[in-house]
Amino acid sequence: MLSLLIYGLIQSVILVLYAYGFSLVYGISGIANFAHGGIYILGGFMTWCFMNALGLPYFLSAIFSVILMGLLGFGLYWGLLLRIRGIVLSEVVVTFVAGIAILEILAWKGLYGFYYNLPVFVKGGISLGDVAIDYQRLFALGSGIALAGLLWAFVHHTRMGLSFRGIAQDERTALSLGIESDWVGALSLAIGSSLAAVAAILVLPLGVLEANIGYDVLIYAVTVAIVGGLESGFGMIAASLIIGFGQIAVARYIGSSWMIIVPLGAIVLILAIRPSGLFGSFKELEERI
Amino acid sequence: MDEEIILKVEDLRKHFGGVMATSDVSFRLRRGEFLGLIGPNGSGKTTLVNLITGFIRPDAGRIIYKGKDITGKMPYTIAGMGIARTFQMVRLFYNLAAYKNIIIPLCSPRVQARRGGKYGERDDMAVELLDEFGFERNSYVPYKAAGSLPHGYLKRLDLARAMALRPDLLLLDELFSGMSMSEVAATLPLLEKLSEEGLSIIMVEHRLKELFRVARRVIVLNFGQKIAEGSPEEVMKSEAVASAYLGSESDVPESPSVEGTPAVSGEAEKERPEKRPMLEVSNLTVYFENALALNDVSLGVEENEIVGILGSNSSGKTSLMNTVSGLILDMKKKEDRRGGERISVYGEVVFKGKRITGLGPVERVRRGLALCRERHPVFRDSDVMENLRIAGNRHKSGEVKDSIALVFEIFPHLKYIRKRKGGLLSGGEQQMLVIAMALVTRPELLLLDEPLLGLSPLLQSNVAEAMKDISLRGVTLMVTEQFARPLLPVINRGYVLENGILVMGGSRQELEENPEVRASYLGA
Amino acid sequence: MADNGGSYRKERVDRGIKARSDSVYAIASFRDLSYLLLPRFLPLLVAFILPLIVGDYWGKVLVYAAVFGILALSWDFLASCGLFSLGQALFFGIGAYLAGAFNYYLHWPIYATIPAASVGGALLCTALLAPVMRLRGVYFAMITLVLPMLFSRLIVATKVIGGSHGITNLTPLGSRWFTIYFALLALFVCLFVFRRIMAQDYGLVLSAIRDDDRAVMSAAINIFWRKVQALFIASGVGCFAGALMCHNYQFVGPSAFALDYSLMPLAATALGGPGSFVGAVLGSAVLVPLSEALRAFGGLRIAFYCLILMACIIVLPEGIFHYMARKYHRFERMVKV
Repeated sequence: MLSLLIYGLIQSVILVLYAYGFSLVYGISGIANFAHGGIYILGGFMTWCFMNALGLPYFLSAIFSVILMGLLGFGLYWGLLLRIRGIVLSEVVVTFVAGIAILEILAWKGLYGFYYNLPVFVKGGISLGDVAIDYQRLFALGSGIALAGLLWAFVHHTRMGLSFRGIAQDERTALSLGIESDWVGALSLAIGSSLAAVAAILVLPLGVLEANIGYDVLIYAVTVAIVGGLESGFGMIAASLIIGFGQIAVARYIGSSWMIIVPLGAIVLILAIRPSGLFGSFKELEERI
Repeated sequence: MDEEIILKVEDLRKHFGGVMATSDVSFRLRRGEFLGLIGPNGSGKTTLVNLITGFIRPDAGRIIYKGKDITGKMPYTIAGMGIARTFQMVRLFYNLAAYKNIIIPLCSPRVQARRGGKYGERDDMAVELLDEFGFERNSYVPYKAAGSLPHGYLKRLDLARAMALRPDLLLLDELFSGMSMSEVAATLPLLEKLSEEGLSIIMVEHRLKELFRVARRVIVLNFGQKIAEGSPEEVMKSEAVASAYLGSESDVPESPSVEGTPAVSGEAEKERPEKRPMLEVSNLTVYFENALALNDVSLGVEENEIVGILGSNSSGKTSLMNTVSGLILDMKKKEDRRGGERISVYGEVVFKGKRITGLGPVERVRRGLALCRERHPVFRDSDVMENLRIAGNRHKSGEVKDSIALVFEIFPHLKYIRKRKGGLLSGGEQQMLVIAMALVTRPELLLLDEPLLGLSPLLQSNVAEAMKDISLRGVTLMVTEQFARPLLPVINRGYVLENGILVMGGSRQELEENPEVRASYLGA
Repeated sequence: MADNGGSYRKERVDRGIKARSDSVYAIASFRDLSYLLLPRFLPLLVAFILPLIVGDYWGKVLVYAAVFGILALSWDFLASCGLFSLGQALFFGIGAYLAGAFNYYLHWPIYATIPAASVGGALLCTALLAPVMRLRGVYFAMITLVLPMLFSRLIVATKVIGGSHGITNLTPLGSRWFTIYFALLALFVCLFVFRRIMAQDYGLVLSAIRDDDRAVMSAAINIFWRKVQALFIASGVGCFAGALMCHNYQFVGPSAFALDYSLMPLAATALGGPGSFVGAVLGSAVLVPLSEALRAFGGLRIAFYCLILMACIIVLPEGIFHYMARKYHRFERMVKV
């Protein structure tokens, strides 16, 4: 029972880590960044490269990757997305395709199978009661929660974060106060990408560094957004908890290969019961005008 | 007897955040009646139309049409039952031919049931219908793309589209706005004929003279409430209506007020010899698709003045503000990307001696030009403090703290409600907040777009006082308003804007004494 | 009005021959007639002759091109309503699995499995996606993106319907000739039908929904029901493509939900020009053989379509077909404002 609770919580936090970057970008710039999975893996791969090809220490490699992914996100917005903003089809397709391109190129270069992985930060683990948890998972749990707190503080208390709040709520009013929506959009994508890289560094050591995982991450991020409702922070957390605990419960009682049924089931259920998501703004009626 | 009543609206209520858009509105409409729906901007007229046609769901109350309760039904169901509407912002398919716009409603199975007619005849039916609305069936006009038609045609096309539904009840939302006198004269007989043929019509209008030629009964709204009902003559005599439209007798004293500083009028001008022009607008012309919003407007604002721009609705006030603030360039950029409405801007804007015509809104704010948009939009999920801090995002936190302290001096009430979420504030509080936010950006020129809109008389005088206070602190103000009475005592100079044309300009005294201004805006 | 001091704008004017051949009198002139008919008959002719001259390998490629073309047509139809699908693989996979299952477990012949898979698949997909019709456009993209991936992972994990190995030894379509011509016929029939639908008032309403759905609602049309109808038609066509391919390969496995089937139709339509349907076919005709030629590069091939797609979207959003049509019908000149 305790094991279920702890591992469920860890899985939920991992899902939040996957989903945060995606939700943030959508909330601020209105773009669904389907390249999220690609950037995740690229962040992990960059860390591996810095460590193995350049011999840099782990910590430094991680930091460089996060910064690099941030720059990539910024460049993606400024170079590509800016040109096509407002055209729904183009926005949706470009990020989708960018993500696939990244993942397929990495796979082609050999990032599949069990050849690559990122090492854990600290080997070993502790025991809580009769439950064994490794340090990496604990670290991911703690960092995930801390990150959420940090981001909340950032958005509400720094100038950049405040301008994010402005653009997310009412773009035109923000403009009339001197907040550049293009700049904010690019920054949001930069931060979203950095978050993806941070998530990668925290979670990849738990498994293998493989390009296909990028698709999984994207699936989870999108599923959490659908189930929780786009644009809702509470929704993201609620959905992650439900799916996270659900997956661990299924793994425990049915079999770990059946875990994938939880996100699928969650989507089908949500579509049947409350299509706009648990906390999704049911804007349908208001938006009728 | 009751079969005579085609529409019954009972205690309808709708709120958006802290603002009551519709407040316990009830009325009845008889079959074949022509009802006018009037009220100042922001009084809830369009909201009422949206509620009746199903585009918004009410919080409370009922709408009963032909004996059936239609509250909360979908817009297409309601339209299928025989209620048609036009939109304030014309919603047509600009890239389609005019007659194709008419075919779309003819494709609805509900409409087909009402009209009869066979499948293959739609093209002919569409052209026939258009002919009744002034689109010569034997000319090329029905076949032209809607986007290439002049504005008057577009309004009639919208009307034709609504009539294609063969409705029993027609709701017109500002049909005459943007139409020239001759276009209105051409459309009035059409409406009269439809009314005689038994169509029940509710018409939202600002052009009262024209409306009263066809409407037998009128309902007046203000702050979402019905404040008067009766024949046009009765209603216009009512004091409640006069003060709603024109603003209350100003409580703002003209003599020196705040801390013995000089009055914001003649004497102050003499004491400041070097007055450089803060803003110069030359030959500003703005088109939205083919509709002319501003027509060759030129005006000037000097340092430390308070300049008022009077105008009723669709006079071009907001377009003027959007152009001066640069927002229109952003709107244009976005519409161009989307392939939507084409916005064209011609003319020059010069601020503090430098040309800013091509600059975007963000750059203009940087240079000290801030706008308070109409209907006081605030950030709804953030509380008052956060709203102010978002506004201060360009400045260092020390400066922002000072600005906020200053703002609290001008609007002490905001300090009291600083933890309240923007979306829950009342209209007056939101207006104060919006002005406060603009002040935090430390502007030299502050543009206010209809700041008194929707405010109670007391709040109107508060805001007018605040304007004087702000001006005394060295900020130049340009204010657009439809309510002349509370505004005039505050301004130094003013202009009058009508249908996009600047018809008059002068000192406050000149405007007060001008008989036409008195008649239209002061209700002498 | 202000004088802009001689600024120019580009104006596009119809060519003389287009204006002349616009009426029924085009029949009188051989030149006008060939202007009209050439672009329509030439591709059909090419499609008819090509299978006769290419070898076995390229014959197979032709079939793939036709099947991908059908998927692309389905995508284009959805896009005409404002529904942008990132998961044609969902329809393809469901159609393929239904056909395979009917054939393998119930032993139905192909003239039963293919229609059943198309209609049954359409019903299933419509049931799954109908609730999304009321939501913002991006939801449709997200859900179509995620569902095929989830389905394929589910099949592999739970080992149902053959798991990762799939089911084999299914009934083939027939002789080589039959397969190729059937696929091509299906492609052109779909093309023709979709174009007809869009040219009718039904299609007018669909594209109006894409442009401004509130305005269409006020015209007493239930936009959600129309979108569901469009979804049914498009998913039926997509499932048909899947069923066809399933019998062509005589095999169906989780690869039926592969990203390739979502990406290719997208790239083909973007390249060819969205909204025209012919563009979808044109794009497939270009990309599928290209993809076969690049087979040696493996995953890099996919990255390659991605780059083409991105380039198209950004540089030439109207697509090849519209570009060519524009050049064919109009010429440009600069006009003073």
